[in-house]
Amino acid sequence: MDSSPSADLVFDRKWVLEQIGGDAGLLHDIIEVFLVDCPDIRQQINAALHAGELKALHAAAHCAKSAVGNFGAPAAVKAAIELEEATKKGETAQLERLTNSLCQALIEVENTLRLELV
Amino acid sequence: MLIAIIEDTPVNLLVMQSLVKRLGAHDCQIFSDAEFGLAWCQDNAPDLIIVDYMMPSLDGLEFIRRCRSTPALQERPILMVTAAAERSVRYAALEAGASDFLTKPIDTHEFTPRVRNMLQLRAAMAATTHRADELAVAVRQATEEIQMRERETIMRLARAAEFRDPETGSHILRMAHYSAIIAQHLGLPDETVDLLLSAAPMHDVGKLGTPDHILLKPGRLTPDEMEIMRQHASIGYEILRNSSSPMLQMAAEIALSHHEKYDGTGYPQGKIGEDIPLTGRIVAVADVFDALTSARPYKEAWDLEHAREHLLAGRGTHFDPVCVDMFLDNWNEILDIRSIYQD
Repeated sequence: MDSSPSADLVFDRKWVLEQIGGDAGLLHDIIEVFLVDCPDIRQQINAALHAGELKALHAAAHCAKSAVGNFGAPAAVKAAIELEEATKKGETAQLERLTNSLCQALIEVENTLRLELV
Repeated sequence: MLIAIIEDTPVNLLVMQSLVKRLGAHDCQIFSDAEFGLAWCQDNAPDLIIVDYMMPSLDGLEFIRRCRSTPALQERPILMVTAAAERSVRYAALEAGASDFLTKPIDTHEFTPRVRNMLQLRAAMAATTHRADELAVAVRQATEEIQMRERETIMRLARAAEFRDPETGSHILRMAHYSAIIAQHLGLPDETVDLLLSAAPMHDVGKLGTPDHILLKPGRLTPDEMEIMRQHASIGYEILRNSSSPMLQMAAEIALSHHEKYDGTGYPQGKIGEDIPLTGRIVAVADVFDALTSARPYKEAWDLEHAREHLLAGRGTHFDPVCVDMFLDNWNEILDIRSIYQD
C-alpha cells in the first residue's frame, strides 16, 4: 500500500478512504466536520497573526496541519508546516505571506471537499 | 472496555472515535478539552487512553505525566498521537510514560492493530490482577483457617489441663481476657494482644505432668509436694517450647514465667523485675486475681474488694506495678469479662 497521498491532488479520495478503512460514510462525516471547523481555524490563524502572537500562530498552524492532513492535501500541509517553522524560528517578516498562503490552500481544500458532498 | 480519546481537532476526534467503534462494543468517551478529559480519566480510570500531543490548554506530555502520578492510572495503557516527524516528542513521551504512539494523519492500518494490542494488553493485565487478588483472598482464608485450627487445638490442650485441676474452663477464658485488657492498656500492638489472648490459657498446661495425688490433694501440700507442684511451670515450658508458631512461643514463655514474682521470690527461675517476660508479668496479675475471686473445693471465693486489696498489696513485690495499675484502672472492663464468663 502506498502510504503517501498524491502530490498532484488537493484531495486524494482514494488515499483517504484507504486511511479510514474504506468507510465512505465516515469520509462524508469528516468532510462535514472539517467544513465547519476549518473556517474557525483560518480565523484563529489570522487573529494570531494580527495580534503578533507567535505561540498562538504556531498552535493554529499545527491545528490546521493536523486537520487538513486527514485529506491528503499536500499543498495545505506544506503551507502549514512552513508557517509552523517560521513561527518557531521567529521569522516575522515571512509570517504574513505564509499565513495568506496557508489560508488560500485551506480554502482550496474546503472548496474541493464541498463538491464531495454534492 | 472503557476508552478515552482526548484530541482538540474535531476531524481527528471523529476519525478515531469511528475507528474505535469498529473494534467492538467498547464504551468510547471523547474530549476536546484536555483538562476536562484528564479529570474524567482520573475519576473513571479508563482501560485505554488515546491523547493528542499538541493541545492548547495542556499538552500530551503533561497529560501523561499527570496520569502516571494518579494511582488508578499508573498501569493503564496510554497511546499518544504525534506526527511521524516529531521524534524528540516521542522520546519525551516515552520518558513521561506513554505506552505507544499513533501517527497523524490517522491511518486505520496502524491505528486499529495498535489500539487492539493495547486493549489486549489491558485485558491481560486485568486478568492477572484479578487472579492475584483471588489468590491473595484464598491465601488469607487458608491462613485464617490454619490459625483458627491452631487456636482451637491449643484451647483444647489448655482445657485438657484444666480438667485435671479443680479450676474451671471459665477460669482460662477470664484470665486470658483479663490479660488482654492489661496488654491493650499497656499499648501493645493489636497482634500481640490477640496472641496473648490465645496463648494465656495454656499457662498451666504443665499440670498434665503433675501427679494426681499432689494436684488433687484436698489439704495443704508438704514442702516436697509443693516442689513437685511447682514443676508444672517448667513442664509446661517443655511441652510448648521450640515451636515455630509465635503463639506457642508466647505460650511457652508464659508457662515458664507466670509464677515469677517482681521482687525475685517467685519460681522456677527467681527472675526479678523486667527480667521477667512482660507476658508472664501480665498473666501473673490476671491469673492470681481470677484464682482469688473463684470458689474452689478447698476455699470460698474472695470478694472483689478483698482481691483488689491483695493486688495493691502485691504491687511492686509480687506483681509488676504497671500491670496492676492497668488492671485496676480499667476495672469496669474487668467486671464485664467477669460477668460474661461465669462458672
